Amino acid sequence: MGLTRASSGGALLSSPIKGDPHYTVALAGNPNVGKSTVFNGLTGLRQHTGNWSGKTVSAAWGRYSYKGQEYTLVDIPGAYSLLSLSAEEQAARDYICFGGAQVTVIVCDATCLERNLDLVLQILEVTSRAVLAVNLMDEANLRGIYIDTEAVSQALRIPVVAMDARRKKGFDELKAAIAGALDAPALPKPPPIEYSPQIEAAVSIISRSIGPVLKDKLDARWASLRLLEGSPSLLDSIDEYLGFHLQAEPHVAQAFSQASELLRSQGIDGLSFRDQIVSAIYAKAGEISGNCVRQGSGAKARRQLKIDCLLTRRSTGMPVMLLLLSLIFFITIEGANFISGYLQYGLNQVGRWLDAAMIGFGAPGWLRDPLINGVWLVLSWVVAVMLPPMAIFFPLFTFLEDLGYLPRLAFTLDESFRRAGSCGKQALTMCMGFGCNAAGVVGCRVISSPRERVIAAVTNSFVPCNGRFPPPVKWQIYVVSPVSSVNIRSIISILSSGLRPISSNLFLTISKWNMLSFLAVFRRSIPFESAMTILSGWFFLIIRPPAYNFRLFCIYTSIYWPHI
Amino acid sequence: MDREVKLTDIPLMNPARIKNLKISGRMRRHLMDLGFTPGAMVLPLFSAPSGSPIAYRIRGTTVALRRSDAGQIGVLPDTETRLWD
Repeated sequence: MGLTRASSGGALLSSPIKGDPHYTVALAGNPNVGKSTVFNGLTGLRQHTGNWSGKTVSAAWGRYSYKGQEYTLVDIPGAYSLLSLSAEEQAARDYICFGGAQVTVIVCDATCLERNLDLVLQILEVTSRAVLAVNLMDEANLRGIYIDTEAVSQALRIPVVAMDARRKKGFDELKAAIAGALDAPALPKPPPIEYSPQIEAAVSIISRSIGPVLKDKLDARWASLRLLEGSPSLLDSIDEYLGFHLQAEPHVAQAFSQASELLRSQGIDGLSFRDQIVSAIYAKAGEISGNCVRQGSGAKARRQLKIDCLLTRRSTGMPVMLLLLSLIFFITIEGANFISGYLQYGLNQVGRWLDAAMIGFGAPGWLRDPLINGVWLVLSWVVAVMLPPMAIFFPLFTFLEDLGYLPRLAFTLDESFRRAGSCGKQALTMCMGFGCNAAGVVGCRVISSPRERVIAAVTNSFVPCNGRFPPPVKWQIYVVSPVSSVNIRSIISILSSGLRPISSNLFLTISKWNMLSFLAVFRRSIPFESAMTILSGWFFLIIRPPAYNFRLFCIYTSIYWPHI
Repeated sequence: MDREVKLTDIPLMNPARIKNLKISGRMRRHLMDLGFTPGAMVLPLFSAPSGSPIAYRIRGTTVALRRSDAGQIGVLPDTETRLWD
């Protein structure tokens, strides 16, 4: 398996929105900055949003209108950088660079503007028609961080909108800024970042000869920098977009060798070239943030750190984790048993009425028996047993996710999983597996290494989802289930030893605690939606397995093979 | 001037300034994209029970790195900077 470019939004470039008569607005930003909330707020479309980096792996689009004009909004996968290598980031980069959106809206997290400015500056090198939406402004103010959006706007030379998407603040201003950016005349702007004199000299050599070749399809300065940088995947994308091999053009090739010769003579090789580029971008980001952001006392940050230390310490962190997970199982199982009983009773009653009605109409036994004792009984059984635990488990899990506990969970358990050749993020997909293995397998996309993703997806079927709990559920399950999730690492060990050993890394962005989201969980329709998706998946599987998406079929089969 | 040490040698809650990254390839790119660039301030915040991974504050965000990865980042201990940037 593995995330292909097509499944991670690479197919965006060939999506039907290309050539749309409406204005196309791209929505870019780092992961976990509330991009999906901004998207939902603008379009009214419900897309799953979550406090976990890398939720939007495939892109979504929606429409909205402002002052009579229709806009198509494309939600691009979250990316830290345009110079990166992960499948999602490549998809994001390709859309931003070649997608042909008229305006790019860049969503930023006000609580860490400096980090976000890295991506902003990179995007501004590609396109100057952009709007910066500084999200989570209220949260930043609470932390004593104040951002002078006027000054940021002047430094970047683009409109800047302060907003708080979760509290529905700033959407009108954002819509106005997007419309304004479309109306503004395209003025040549100075490049957002100045590099070292050596790099600037090399860039000017190439951009002189590259300009006529590009014919305004791409920014000459940007393309020159990318040629010098020599990232194969990006150069392939550029060639694909232009329809010819850029480096093979005689003028370009000549200028390129001249420029690389110049850089080599100054002692700049491929590695240090990229280092200088990234450092220059960060230096600029630091300068802007230094001038425009006022930091407070950090009292709240210190408080949050105290919670973190408590939750990751061995003496307190592990008991809290086990207690929390056991509590979720307790609530899920006890609550579900209660509802299941009533649901089953009710549905059986309906079954009896149907049976009586069929007898009344004089239906023959060969028709009545399969319909009532077959179709109806199975249907009511599945609904009564599966629906209640999912409807309880997933809101609880979403609550932990919104709170920000999940990255801490992955953090605490990473070492155990690493020893088994996997990574801590798998703990999360396994927890989701207790709710539903299908959700757990789909959740594996948050794991970046393809090898670890396969391990997580395959071993997820060993986690008993709540539909597979033994029917008379005893108290042991509350204790055994969370512990067994750690024990499954022995199975992973066996599996991973068969796979090619690759040194693995972990980059876990630990999001901020978010205590305000408690009520938000119940306002959202995720549990219902996900339950319906999963149920409908089963029905499709029962009705026409080969015709339905083959990949989904494989996933479901892999989940249920222990039963077969 | 302090001597360069490994990032993992810095005690928790002691700031340091990144000197260089002794890593290449994909890992180096990703670290730099996350803000681990030479000259950046980094502050070890807390670690998992087994001592790995360790959470670092870098450019206003918190990123967890495994001990083996963080050990390849060379830093200069910084005693003058305030704890909260």
